[in-house]
Amino acid sequence: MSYISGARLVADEQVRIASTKMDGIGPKKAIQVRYRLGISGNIKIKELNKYQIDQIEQMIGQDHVVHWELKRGERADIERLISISCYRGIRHQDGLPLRGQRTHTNARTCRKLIRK
Amino acid sequence: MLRHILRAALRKPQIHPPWNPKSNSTVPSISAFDHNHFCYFSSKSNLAKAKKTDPKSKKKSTNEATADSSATDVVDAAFFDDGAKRVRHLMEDEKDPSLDVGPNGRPLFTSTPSLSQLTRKDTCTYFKFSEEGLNGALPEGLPKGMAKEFEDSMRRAVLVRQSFLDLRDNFRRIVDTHPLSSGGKDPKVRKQIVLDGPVSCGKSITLAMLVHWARDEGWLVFYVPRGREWTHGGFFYKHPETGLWDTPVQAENILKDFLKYNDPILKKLPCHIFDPVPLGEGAGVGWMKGVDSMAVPEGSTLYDLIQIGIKLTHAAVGVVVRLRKELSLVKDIPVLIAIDQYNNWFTFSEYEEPVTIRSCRPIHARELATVNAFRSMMHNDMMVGAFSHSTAVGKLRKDLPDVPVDARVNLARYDLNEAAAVCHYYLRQRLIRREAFSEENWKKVYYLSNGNGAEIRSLVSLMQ
Repeated sequence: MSYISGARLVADEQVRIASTKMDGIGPKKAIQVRYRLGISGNIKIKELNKYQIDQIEQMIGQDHVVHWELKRGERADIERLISISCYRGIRHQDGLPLRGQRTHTNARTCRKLIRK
Repeated sequence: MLRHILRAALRKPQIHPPWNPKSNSTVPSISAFDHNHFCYFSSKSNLAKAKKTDPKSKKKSTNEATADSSATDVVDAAFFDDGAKRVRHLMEDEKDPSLDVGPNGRPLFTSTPSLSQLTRKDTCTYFKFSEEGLNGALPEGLPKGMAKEFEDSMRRAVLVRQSFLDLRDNFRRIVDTHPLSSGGKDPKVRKQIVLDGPVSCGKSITLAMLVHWARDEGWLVFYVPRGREWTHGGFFYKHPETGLWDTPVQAENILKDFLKYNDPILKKLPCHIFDPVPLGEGAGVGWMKGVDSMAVPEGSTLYDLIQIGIKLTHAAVGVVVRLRKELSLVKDIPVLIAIDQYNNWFTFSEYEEPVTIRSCRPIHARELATVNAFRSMMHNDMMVGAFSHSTAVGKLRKDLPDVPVDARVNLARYDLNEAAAVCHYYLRQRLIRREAFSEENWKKVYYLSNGNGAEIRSLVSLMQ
């Protein structure tokens, strides 16, 4: 079992699927990373050696925002909206939908924070 | 398919009227096909829909599922029992040589001991291989079609066809210095041949038999049973100097396969080129620091060269490319290059090169260093490439690049005489029940399948 950028990668999974377990890496970015490192489609995580895993980690760290950096960025954006007291920031504070949805009914997902 | 038919037969035994030659139907009914077969997929989808919509049907569906699973268990048990029985019967049949009878009372198996002694009289008979002999001659692996044929028929024997004899004689004439005694003009010999033809017409089996024959004759044969593996799998790195893509894992496998049979021959063949072998990126280890080539010691043999490629991953691709040049310079013994799934080398590989952040460019097979070294037929060496329909390459142009215009040979499917021999062989191997076998029935199977070998093998068991 190896960890790359905070994601636990299963050894028996193919690299292109295991890479998507990282926050911030989806199928397209996984393919890009794979082809830049010269890894074909059917290679599994257990067939990679330490050098290749370090290469993957280095490439992802250089070119993509992943894991805690991504979450920090998202949180920073929300806090900026709250700090300038705009409509969207107030909705974030109140735990209500902010993209024009109805609140008379539904909106249960956004209200999870209030219910807690 | 066969399992489904047996399953249906176990549930409801059906009585079908015998085939009436005076009836108007043009297609003879193979009676194992009942309505349930044609409704198989629709009934399955209907079952799935019923499960979703009707909660009450859940109980029924579970009952059906248990009934299905028990029927499957019965079918599987029946299969296992049938298989074991068949093996037992075949072992008893070995003691009775009167069963080895082909069409028109001809012998089913040829008594010729080797492929090189086969003649025109042996066509439409079967040549038996020993397990050790076949595995010894083809250690790289058998083509899929051949393995399936051996598995289904439970005997390692192949049909001797005129197309194989023509191919063998073509290469024999190239090597044999004595002129033909027929008195007529020598037929045109071709050093480079591409075997093409319809699906399941015997291209791969013919190539494998040719390789077997050539190795029996003592030739040095570079045999690639799966050309697709050169363009799929492993790691791929671009070499900055050549501009081609290196595949070190594939190259190492190529060298290991080549060494499997040709080990003793390669130890006696000296290298002719002693230039340093260029190094590339190793598989998962990066570049070698400070070194970009490896010297080939004076007096090395081809075996030593190949060992360099196997032991050092950075040199694997360079050694494969060098090996191709060395094979052209071998004059001591005849050299034959035999590539199966050759059409895979004329299309795109599995690999892609990232061009922008969001897009990639597929890499063609000719851009791979290993394929680029072996693909061309524009040389004076003996080479045979067999196309394969099993790899979803699609239709290629008639005039392929780096292939002589007259190199294509179209193999035909079975004709009536060959189909007769095949059906008698399957009867001998108990794929057909003796009481169901008749000339009428095997001809029906032949015309239904249009001479397709794999289809004949699947249809003969349905004869009734």
